[in-house]
Amino acid sequence: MKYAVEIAGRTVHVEVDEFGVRVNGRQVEGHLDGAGTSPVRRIVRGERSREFVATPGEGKGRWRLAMEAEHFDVEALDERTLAIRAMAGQGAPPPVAGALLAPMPGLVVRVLVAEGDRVAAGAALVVVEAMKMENELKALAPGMVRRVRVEPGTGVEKGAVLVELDPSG
Amino acid sequence: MKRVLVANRGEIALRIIRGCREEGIESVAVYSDVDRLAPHVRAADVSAHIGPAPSSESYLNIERLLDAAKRTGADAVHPGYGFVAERADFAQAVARAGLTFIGPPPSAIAAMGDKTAARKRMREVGVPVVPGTVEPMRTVEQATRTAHTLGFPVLLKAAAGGGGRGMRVVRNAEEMEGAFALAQGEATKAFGDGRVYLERLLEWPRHVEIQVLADRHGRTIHLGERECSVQRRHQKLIEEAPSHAVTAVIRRQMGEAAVRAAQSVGYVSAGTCEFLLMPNGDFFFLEMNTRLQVEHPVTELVYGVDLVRMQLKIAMGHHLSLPERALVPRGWAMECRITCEDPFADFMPAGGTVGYMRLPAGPGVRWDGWVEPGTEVPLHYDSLLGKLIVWAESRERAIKRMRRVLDDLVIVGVPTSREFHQRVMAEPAFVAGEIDIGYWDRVGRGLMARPPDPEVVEAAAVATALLEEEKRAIGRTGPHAGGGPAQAPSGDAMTGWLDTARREGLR
Repeated sequence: MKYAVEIAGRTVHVEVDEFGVRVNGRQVEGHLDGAGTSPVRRIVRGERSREFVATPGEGKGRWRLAMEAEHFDVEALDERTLAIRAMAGQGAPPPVAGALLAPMPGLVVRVLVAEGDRVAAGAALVVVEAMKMENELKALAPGMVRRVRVEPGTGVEKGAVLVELDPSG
Repeated sequence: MKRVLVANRGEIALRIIRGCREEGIESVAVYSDVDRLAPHVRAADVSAHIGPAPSSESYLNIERLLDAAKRTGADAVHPGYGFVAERADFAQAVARAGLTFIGPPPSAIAAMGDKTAARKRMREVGVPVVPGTVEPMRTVEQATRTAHTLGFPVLLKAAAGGGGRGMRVVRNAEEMEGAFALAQGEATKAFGDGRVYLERLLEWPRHVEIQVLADRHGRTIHLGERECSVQRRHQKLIEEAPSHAVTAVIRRQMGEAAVRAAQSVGYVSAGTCEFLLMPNGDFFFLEMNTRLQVEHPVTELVYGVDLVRMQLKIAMGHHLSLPERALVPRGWAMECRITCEDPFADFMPAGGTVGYMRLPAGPGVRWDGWVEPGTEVPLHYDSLLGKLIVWAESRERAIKRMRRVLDDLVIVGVPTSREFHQRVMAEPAFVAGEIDIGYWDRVGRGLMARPPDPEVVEAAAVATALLEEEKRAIGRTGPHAGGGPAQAPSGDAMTGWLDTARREGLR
């Protein structure tokens, strides 16, 4: 898998596959030691082994790493997530109050709510598949489901209204 | 003395409870609502609840502390440091209740508590204080004349002042006229009192303090110095004993001055005289702390003396039995305060729950701390999680050892000052012993702003990619691989811990 690793204000491209690890296209030797119940791990690169402490951050691909008197909030995005983000970010329609919009073109896999349901902010409403990845789309604010405009199998374009919500209170 | 109530919490409560246990004395822990499950409560033989979280209603509440002592049948009270440790009225109340106060007499606490009166008294008994005038300066001419006798640079200070207002640095006679007017004006505006006096400006002195021990039979000794120059906003961060700048001659002079200071107020028990030490060996009394200090372990390690045990023995009326001749520092001890503050965010204090912990072990290391995995660090009290202390044969070796044990120390879940200490231990001026109270402004602050080593950034980037790859592999072989509805990636809620637990559970 190819990762774009956002760290210390820069992006490092790391590719990991059966042939090893490449950093910005340069082949390096590298593996992790110490998987188990401890967050203390070691990264072995060539002859140099460095200890670090890894704790998961908030959100997919996010980690907090402490290594040699440094600490990093890191985000490792794989290429598919990156592509989806790029697509969702470019010319995305402004969010419509009271509606869940498709952030990217895709196929509706599941609908997790029914009309009349009360949902909290952050509740998953619909799962849309894009780039072979399933993406849970969540409510931005609490409310009541007024209308569900899609069903499993529906193909949607970017910006399509999936669910209409009545914002509560 | 059979049962000691420890009127404190955190690491110092544990330190005292351990000292009591070693002496075969029972201990009583006190706790507020948020400390119900704290380690010091479990460590003690008996415990007593003393009120809600705010210290004014618990650890600072004299009535409740005394009530707890009565309830639990304690016959002595150790105040630790902070909270009620330097309150003469507390020491008085303990005595009135018929209990032994493990510390100095109330009169000594009061005499040293009034800082201006204390300095006046020190001058009388021949302990050097920062040279300056006691009387306000009436005219520019008088101020200039006095400044010449004190020696430039001098500091013009508001007599009624504080907080830096009405304060002006004067580097030479020419600057006096303007500075005098400005200081007077500021002082009038700020305090309604334009009187100003003069003090010699001490530029970048070291903070060096002397440990004193006095028994109830008139014997007072000193246990050499500790250097505490690495401070941030008057908060000590790193302490060591001995001091790089203190020769045997200076040690004897400062020691004698500290003993005189203690004797002048009828001091008993352990106490500390703080001094400013100049590059030329001149030193000036700042104040006396009438209690056990946070940094007492570094003295214990180089003098081979258990200060808490000494306090207990002194309180029981024993004679100080330490032979003066043997009292020389051996080797080097250093302490790093591990606080719950984020050094990457200007030492912002933080609360939170401690997750994984790994404490250093091996030669020459001591950890005086109170947190455990699962401890919720309350925001009500100070941010000290523990003190990492090392001993080695020399300063150079102590620094190397400190680097090793800082690397070994892992506390997950809350930010700590560890990374600051790691950087100081590699910083050339500190390593060379070139420290003074300006170290933070000159060097310390900048250490945290330094950009990371690209080599480390790359290693961390690769590590993160490998962590993600590992997570992906676990996902593929995990319980939801194949069959059943596909699970949405659960990165948000799923932690590495859960991943691991799940994997272990399926083996």
